[in-house]
Amino acid sequence: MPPPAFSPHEEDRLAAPLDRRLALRLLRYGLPYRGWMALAVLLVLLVTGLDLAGPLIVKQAIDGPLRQSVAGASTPLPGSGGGGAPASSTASSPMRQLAAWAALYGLVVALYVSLRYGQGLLMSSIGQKIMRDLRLEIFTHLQRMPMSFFNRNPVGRLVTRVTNDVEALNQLFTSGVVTFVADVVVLSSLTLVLFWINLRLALVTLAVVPFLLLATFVFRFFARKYYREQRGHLAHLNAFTQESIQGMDTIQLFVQEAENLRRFAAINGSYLDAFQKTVFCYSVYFPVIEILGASALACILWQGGDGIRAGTLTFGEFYLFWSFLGRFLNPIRDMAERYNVLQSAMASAERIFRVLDSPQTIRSREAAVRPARLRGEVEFKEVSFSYDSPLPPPLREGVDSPLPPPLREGVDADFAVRDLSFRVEPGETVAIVGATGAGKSTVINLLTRFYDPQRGRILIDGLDLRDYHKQALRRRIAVVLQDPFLFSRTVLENIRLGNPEISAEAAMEAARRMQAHRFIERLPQKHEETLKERGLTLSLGERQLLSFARAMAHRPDLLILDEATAHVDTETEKLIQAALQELWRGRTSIIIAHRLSTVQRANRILVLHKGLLREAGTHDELLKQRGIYHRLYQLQFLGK
Amino acid sequence: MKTVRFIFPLARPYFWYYLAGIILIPPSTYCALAIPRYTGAAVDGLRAGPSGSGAVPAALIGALLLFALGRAVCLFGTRWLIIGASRRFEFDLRNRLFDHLQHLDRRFYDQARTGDLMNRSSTDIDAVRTMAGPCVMYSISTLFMLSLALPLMAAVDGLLTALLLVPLSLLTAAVRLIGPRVQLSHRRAQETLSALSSFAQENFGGMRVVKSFAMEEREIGAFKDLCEVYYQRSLATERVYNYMGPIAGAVGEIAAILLLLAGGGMILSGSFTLGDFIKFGGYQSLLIWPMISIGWVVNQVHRGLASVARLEEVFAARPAVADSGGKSEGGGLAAAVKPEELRGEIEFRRLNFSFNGPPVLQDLSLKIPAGKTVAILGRTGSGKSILASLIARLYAVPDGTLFIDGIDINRIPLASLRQAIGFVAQETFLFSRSIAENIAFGALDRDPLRWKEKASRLAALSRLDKDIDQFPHGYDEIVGERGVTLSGGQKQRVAIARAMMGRPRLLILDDALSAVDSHTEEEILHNLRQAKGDLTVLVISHRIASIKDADHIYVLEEGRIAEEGSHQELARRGGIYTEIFRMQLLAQELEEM
Ligand SMILES: Nc1ncnc2c1ncn2[C@@H]1O[C@H](COP(=O)(O)OP(=O)(O)O)[C@@H](O)[C@H]1O
Ligand SMILES: Nc1ncnc2c1ncn2[C@@H]1O[C@H](COP(=O)(O)OP(=O)(O)O)[C@@H](O)[C@H]1O
Ligand SMILES: [Mg+2]
Ligand SMILES: [Mg+2]
Repeated sequence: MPPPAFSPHEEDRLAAPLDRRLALRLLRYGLPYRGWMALAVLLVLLVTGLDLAGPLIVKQAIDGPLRQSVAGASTPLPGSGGGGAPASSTASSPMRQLAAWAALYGLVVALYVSLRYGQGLLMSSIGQKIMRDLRLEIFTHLQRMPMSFFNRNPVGRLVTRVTNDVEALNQLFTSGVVTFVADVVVLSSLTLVLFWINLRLALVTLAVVPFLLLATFVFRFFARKYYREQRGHLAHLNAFTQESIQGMDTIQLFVQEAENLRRFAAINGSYLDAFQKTVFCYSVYFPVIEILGASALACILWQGGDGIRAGTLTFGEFYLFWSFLGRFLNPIRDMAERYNVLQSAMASAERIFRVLDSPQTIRSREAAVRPARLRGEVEFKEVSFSYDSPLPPPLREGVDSPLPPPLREGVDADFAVRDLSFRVEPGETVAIVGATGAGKSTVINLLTRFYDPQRGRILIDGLDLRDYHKQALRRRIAVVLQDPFLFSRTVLENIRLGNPEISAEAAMEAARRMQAHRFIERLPQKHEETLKERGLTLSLGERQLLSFARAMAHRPDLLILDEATAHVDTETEKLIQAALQELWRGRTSIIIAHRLSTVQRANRILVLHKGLLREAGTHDELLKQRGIYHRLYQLQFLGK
Repeated sequence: MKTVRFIFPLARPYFWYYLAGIILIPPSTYCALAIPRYTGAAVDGLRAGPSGSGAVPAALIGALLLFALGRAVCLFGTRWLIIGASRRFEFDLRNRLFDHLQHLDRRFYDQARTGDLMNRSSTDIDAVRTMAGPCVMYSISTLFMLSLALPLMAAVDGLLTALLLVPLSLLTAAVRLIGPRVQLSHRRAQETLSALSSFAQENFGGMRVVKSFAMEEREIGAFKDLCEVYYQRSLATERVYNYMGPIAGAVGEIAAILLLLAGGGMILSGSFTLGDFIKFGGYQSLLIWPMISIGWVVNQVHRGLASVARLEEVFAARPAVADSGGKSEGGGLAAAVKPEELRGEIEFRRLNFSFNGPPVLQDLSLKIPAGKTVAILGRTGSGKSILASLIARLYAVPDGTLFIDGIDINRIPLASLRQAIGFVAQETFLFSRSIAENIAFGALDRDPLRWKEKASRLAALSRLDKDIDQFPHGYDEIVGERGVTLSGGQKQRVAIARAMMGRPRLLILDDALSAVDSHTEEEILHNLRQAKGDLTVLVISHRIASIKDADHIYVLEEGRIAEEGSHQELARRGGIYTEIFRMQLLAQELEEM
């Protein structure tokens, strides 16, 4: 089976903007805060109502105290200079009424402002809470994912899940859903009020609505298409930039700056194109809405004017239609704008859920054993394993329903390890040697349960690996790898890894024994020095020493060294070995190394070849066998 | 203001786009303002005249629609031109930044954080583009709207217009008061988010270690704390930010109340008509939205300027390694040097090198004759890798200390120098492309057919061919991030094939076979010797077996040369080399006893 394809364009895939299944699932995260959510919805309704109250109040004023003056009957009497007093006395009562309406309006606005603030704050705090919960859930889930998952998924993509994708949901909570609901409420109540006031005029005015919807629909169709393109190119652009930054040395050493810039500019160009199309969509859409709005206004003037003349419409009602028109257009325009936000939020939600739904194939069972100590007896029983297996590993022997097919040469050539059986007694030091790609590291991966074998069993202290609690088991085993990974934390933290049982003194003692103190002393802040990303400013050998110190400080019962001294010079290695022999007397270790000087002291040496165990025995025995080991030995010391 | 000056030249090519877009704004504003004017006139016309259809003249409605059309056309032009130009500007800026990043040297990257650089090349560029596009468009539109609408309104009624200035200035005050606070708390929240993202990045990248040491629960705990801090800070931002919407809304409403009260009063006194009322209301709503947008614009400009400053920091970084570096006598670039003409003779002359601390290389003199193989052996941290990287000028060296073919390295064009070198670094970096593309990374010949053929030849040389045969997709197998799906030895062998692709004159192998077993190593060294010709080779290794055939061996100790000579000489000398040799030979001696 081909390895799971890396798709740099995974970000392209977009969910439907309002996928019900996704929305419901998202809503479930709001469940703990449902009381607050209900309050927020109530507030939204209130705020919307208050927002519509303004034009209604003005209408009442126009049709009430202002009615006379507006209708034109109140043209000031000729000789108004003399009639000032009576005019003002008759006007005082409408004036007072007017003031009362204005005061009411003021009250409404004050209420509106405070409720709207409360509603906004409430929504955003619920949103932030949900995001906090979700972020932690994704991170926690990822901590439990098997190693193979991390080999398949670029780090950048996973980081996006806990940061950008969760942030995108923020928009959904704070401005998306609720505002969307508010917009729908506004639109429907506006329509209701207009129909209630004047059916005929409402029909004429709202005749533009189908066109408005059509325009919005067409716009959404294209905007969505280009938006999707744009997202894909952006994700590609970011991935490319990140990889280039991390591999800048390589790019410069191979003088690929120009070629690389050409590639970058090509992606950037596609991004620009997609963006220009989006800009075009918006540039067309907004003016179209403008024209449709003006058409509606024309309808109001034309029909409304006739209505007023005919006496079927008051000036106040006319005003209301005019004033509501603006409030009608805004939500529709906003909905189109918000559509992208909503869509990207949904897409993010889908990507997040895909991560949360990815199964944790390697689980600890319920009644798993948590060993306090290990004796250090290791046994492989006819273990076979392939990285490419399409089948999930069987759960337990016996539970395994159909018998797995027998392994055949050729057909199963991609098995990294085949029919492997060996035993390591407590306290023994066993070395594994073999060509690159022979499967040595794979044995370690299986032993530390980064993968489960498809066939056979692995036992530690006589108990199947799958009966142990995974973390508890790993806590008793320490692995030092060829590629040391350091965190950008202090030197001390890199040794202790947050383990409270390791004192600073113990950590530094481990560093001293593993020869790491020599360079630590040279750092400006010594062991308090914060390292750079991946420890890149240390030499590779120094990083290996530090990871050695880390392993020793954790005092494991089983020590595994996978080419751990490959970048360390012979003298330092010698010192480390001496320290190990002293500290490690009576405990089990498994060592993988290419330098035979490293392995020759082992109690037993296993020779792996193409995933098969070909030879086993002590150094002397293997030399006498005159097999693969003998050949390796000859090569290394005698030069052919 | 220095910052803005740096950005202007980049926008220069789009000057005409901007100008055309801006020229369209006044007519657009004029048309927009005509609509309330005609509406008011229509309403006034209703007060008198006979009842019946056609109460509002068709000509008036037609004119109104015509103006709406004019407005629409101008709006389209403005947006398309200005926003489009800002996108192109963004495109240029992105390319410029990327190009610049590609020319910064390793000292810069030693200090920089990937996440930070990523932020600058995405978020900051976005902010600058928003400033160059929507901000320009909205602020100029607002300016014209203000200067055209206010006189029109004053013509309707001076007092009412003056009254309107009250809520408008209130709005401005609120924006100025709230804006900086939002800014401040937003920045603090952003910093936490960036810390959170770095934490996640490192955790995922180091998952192998996290799992091996069963530190998952502790990592979750630490992440939870970060989430909590971020939550608190985001909430603080929201608390301030949420004032904006209600205040902006309130301003519109206050203006409406003022109009109702004062306008209504004037209608009562007869100095105002409903037409005036509607006209004024229309002007008001046209004016208020741009005014509110100013609040947004001010915020974005603040952010944009901060981003420009952050970008400028990157642009201001100058690589110490660049082609103009040679200032020695007879200075200037030895432009004539072509990569294929370099013989690969290397000479260090009393070179000192340090990273703002204790010296890494001290008083180092060393010579690698052209066509020879020279090996370096030495303790961990003794400066071997640094020495190798100086030859490729990854770090800058002082003039007169390092010579290639007798030419000061600072005078050799960087591209020629690096093209002449095949470099296999101690730590292999592969790109997440196919194996074939990784091998052909440095290929001068871009014709895929030809380089594929060559790639397979080089794969055979580095003994990678059999491994590749076993991959499901062969040469087209994608290797994953940093080459995660390959074993350590496979990665190193891809790197060797990659280094040989560009027909180097000088091959540097920095511990390049450490993950390869001795059998394969011997085969690769054999193949390399066959293919060597007059290639100069520098080998760094800890294994005596892989360096004993070198013409000359240097032993490095704390940045100095402790011993040198051929294998035979050094093995007999009784120094460090002899000791290492003895240790590695121990097995053999045991055997002979
Ligand atoms: N994560 C992985 N995914 C797929 N294949 C892998 C992975 N790791 C190793 N392999 C393959 O398994 C084989 C054995 O690799 P490994 O055990 O790492 O060899 P080594 O003996 O050099 O340690 C190699 O062919 C390698 O390409
Ligand atoms: N970028 C850097 N910044 C600061 N110190 C460094 C940097 N790179 C290497 N060093 C230090 O310089 C010394 C020599 O490093 P290096 O040449 O990589 O050693 P090695 O001989 O093992 O290859 C080491 O002590 C290392 O910590
Ligand atoms: Mg390995
Ligand atoms: Mg090194």
